[in-house]
Amino acid sequence: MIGAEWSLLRREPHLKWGAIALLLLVGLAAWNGRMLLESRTVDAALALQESRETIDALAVQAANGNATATSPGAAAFGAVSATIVRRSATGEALAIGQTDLEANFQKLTARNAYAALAASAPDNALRLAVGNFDVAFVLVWLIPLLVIAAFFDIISGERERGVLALAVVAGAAASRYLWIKWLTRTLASIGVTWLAVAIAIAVGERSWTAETAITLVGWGVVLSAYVFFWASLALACNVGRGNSERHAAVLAAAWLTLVILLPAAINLLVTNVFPAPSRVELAAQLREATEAADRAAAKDRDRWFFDHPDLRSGEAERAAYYRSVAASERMITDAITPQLSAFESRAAERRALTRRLQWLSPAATTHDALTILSHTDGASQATFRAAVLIFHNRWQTFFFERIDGDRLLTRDDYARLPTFESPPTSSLRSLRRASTNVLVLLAIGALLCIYCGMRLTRLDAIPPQQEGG
Amino acid sequence: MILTIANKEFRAILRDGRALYGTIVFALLGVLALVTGAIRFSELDAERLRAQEHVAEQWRAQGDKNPHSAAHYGQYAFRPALPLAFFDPGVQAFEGVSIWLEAHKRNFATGRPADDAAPLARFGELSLAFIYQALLPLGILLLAYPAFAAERDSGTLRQLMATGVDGRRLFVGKFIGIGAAVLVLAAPVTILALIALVVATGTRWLAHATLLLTFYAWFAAIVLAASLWVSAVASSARSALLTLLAIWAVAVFVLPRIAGDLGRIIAPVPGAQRLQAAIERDLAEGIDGESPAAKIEKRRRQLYRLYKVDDDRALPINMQGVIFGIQDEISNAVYDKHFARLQSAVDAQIDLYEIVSLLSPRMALMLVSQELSGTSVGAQRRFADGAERFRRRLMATLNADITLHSRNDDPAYRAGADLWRSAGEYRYEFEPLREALRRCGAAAMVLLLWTLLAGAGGLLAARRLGSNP
Repeated sequence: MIGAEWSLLRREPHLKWGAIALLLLVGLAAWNGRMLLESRTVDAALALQESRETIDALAVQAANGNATATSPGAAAFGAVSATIVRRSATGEALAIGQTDLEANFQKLTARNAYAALAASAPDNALRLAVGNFDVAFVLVWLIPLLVIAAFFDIISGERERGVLALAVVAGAAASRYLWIKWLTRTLASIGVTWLAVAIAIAVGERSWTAETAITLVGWGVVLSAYVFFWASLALACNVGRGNSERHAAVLAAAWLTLVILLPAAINLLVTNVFPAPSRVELAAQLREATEAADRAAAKDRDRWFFDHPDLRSGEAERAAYYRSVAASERMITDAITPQLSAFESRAAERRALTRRLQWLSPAATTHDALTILSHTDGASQATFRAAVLIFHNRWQTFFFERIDGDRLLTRDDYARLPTFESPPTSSLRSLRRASTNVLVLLAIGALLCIYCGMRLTRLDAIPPQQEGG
Repeated sequence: MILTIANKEFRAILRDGRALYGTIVFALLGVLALVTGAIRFSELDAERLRAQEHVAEQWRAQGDKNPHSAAHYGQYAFRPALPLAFFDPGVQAFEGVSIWLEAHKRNFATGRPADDAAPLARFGELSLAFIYQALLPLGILLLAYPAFAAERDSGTLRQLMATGVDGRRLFVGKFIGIGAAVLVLAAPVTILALIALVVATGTRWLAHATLLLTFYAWFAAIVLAASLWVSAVASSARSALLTLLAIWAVAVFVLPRIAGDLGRIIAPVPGAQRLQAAIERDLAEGIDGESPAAKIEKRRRQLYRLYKVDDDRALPINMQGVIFGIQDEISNAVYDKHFARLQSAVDAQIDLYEIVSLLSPRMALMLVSQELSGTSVGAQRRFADGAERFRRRLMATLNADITLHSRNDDPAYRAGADLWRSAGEYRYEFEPLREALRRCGAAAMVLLLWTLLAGAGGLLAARRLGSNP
């Protein structure tokens, strides 16, 4: 019977073309994600190379006794910067998430951490506002539409065409017939989904590794559970009374609610329950901290027209100037660190509440799982930011010790500069984290199936409008 | 005849329970978006006013110091929250809220609210603009899809045409009837929003709001005409519904994202690293073939000739103030060049977005809505450019003070409150409506083309109803 249903399904042109359109969009989205990632990777590699070349050149100059290269202050606050690069992870091109808002590399100096973390790459805000066209978007938003197109009349269509009544008259069990029809369509939809994921990874990933295979399996499993949920919901809608048009409208409303309105409402709630600390106030606080630091060093700093030690000569003058700058930066860092921590802890609270509420929307649950599998979720970004702050502290300490101790930089010092290691990612660990999401989707789908099973036993084979006549 | 048809459609919709439920859902979402939008606007407005005043007070009370120290201390420009942002937040979350106005540098706006956004933020923001741009069209198509198609399914269309009714009159009648119903259904939220605006800000923004609503009404008319067109040509009501839902999903959600990313690929914005490197190179080498050092030397010789001296200390003015002025002239030219390049890349992306909006009137409406609400890329640019003009005036005032009132090699020179007061504080000036409208030309043309297409297509299809009902 599955074979017969499969051949019927293949003859439905709107489903065939819908599936082809979905696969094309997935391919396009994967290519788009790859282009974005590659351009970011090229920029990061260029910055890294330039940074290394600068450090190598300064090391040579330091060996030759060059004043700028040997001055720890000149190096710390101008000549030397650490380029830190966020290592791209498997699957990142498929679910861009919020990563396009954060630079994948940053240039850190020994100035305060806010100066480094507040910097954002210039971009087209309109593009950022409308969102990315990535594979996660295509699959989370559009797969339900394909499923709805395949399932909206799974029972009502049969009833309206009289097939169900004929089957009952012929002695067939209507529920068995419908379950097989549903199973065939569900398996076909899952098949299309796995094909879409395979295309996405083939187009979006640069190489195939064990991590890629885990990502593929993870995406496939998550999306299969998502398809299972939508197929179950469509069946649950169909076991009720009403015609196909009504079911299409109800399922479209369900899509609108679960994919668009609920995530937006959850976002609204989370934003209002845990409002982010004010960036405006942070700017004012930073200014106060800067002013306080400048006042403390005012007497000294005016000697150099604030930041122009080049207008005065002498090594002793320069060393004194940089000591005053280091003292200011230390004061600013001390003043601003609690504010930055408040941003991070508030972000963590938002993530936690979002994770609790996202179970209300299977779309949000699925999207969360996909970003976890692609290492582009909020927790991964927070881990990276924390690593950057730890590294910045090491970098600042390296230079401040030499500035305060009035120790000139040597060639060996340049070789000993701290280096940044991007936090490692593990697809297997991500798979474990995403498994809760899969279980939730499967559980909701299973509950819907149980409900359908109970309703299918007392199914009407005759369309409602014919009953009265 | 037309009015009779319109009256029948109008009454039928108002009697339909689904329309009532739809209106309730629409009104609830609208009120939710209105209340949260209004609260957010009033908080942001108060916060920014407070911060701007605070910064101005800090500037005035900074005490006696060298004007160049004050130049580095600088001021902050905070982006104002415009009242209609409660309706359409536009790209505001993806643009920085403050710009540090300091010596020698044109800084980017920092502190993007999106950087602190909750994980589900990119699913979409529940604003009134989103509801009117995405949900209102859905409501319209759900009301309009059966207009011809359902009558064809039930056979009443054939009977109607047999009575000699002109298909075009039927189209216009249904258009007026459904359109009037849509107006009645959307009226409560719209009137409430207008009242909230007038209560909060008086009539200052009423012209903007009226124009905004006119564009939204125009958009709704296009959607209605297009929906009736599809209903007229569809083989069945089911087919009309599925076709319209697919068009809606693609036009409202998919195309804007594709257009945004296509713009990024075709006209990429220079990365922060490359931009910064290019700026630093030009600052060091100059952009007109003359190095900064050569420019300074040339001016020095001119001044020597003018005052008939041969040493900086013999000049009646402070050469260091002149040097700061030259450095600012150079840096201003360099920043103008690179910001223009950056802005032209963003403009090219928005041009492409406008071209793709030929396929989706929602995209054209989005651009118009953001412009009239003061939340567009253009409005942000106006804020940034205004802040930059002020920065240059501020630096020119401070440099002139050093030049005219202090002597060379006199680090003890201090200016005081009089200078800070005369230099002024940054204040944002609201943009006249006609300037915002000037940026809406292309989008308005797209809406006009859609009006012609939907109107002509619908009327043509309706005329053919007589020959093939």
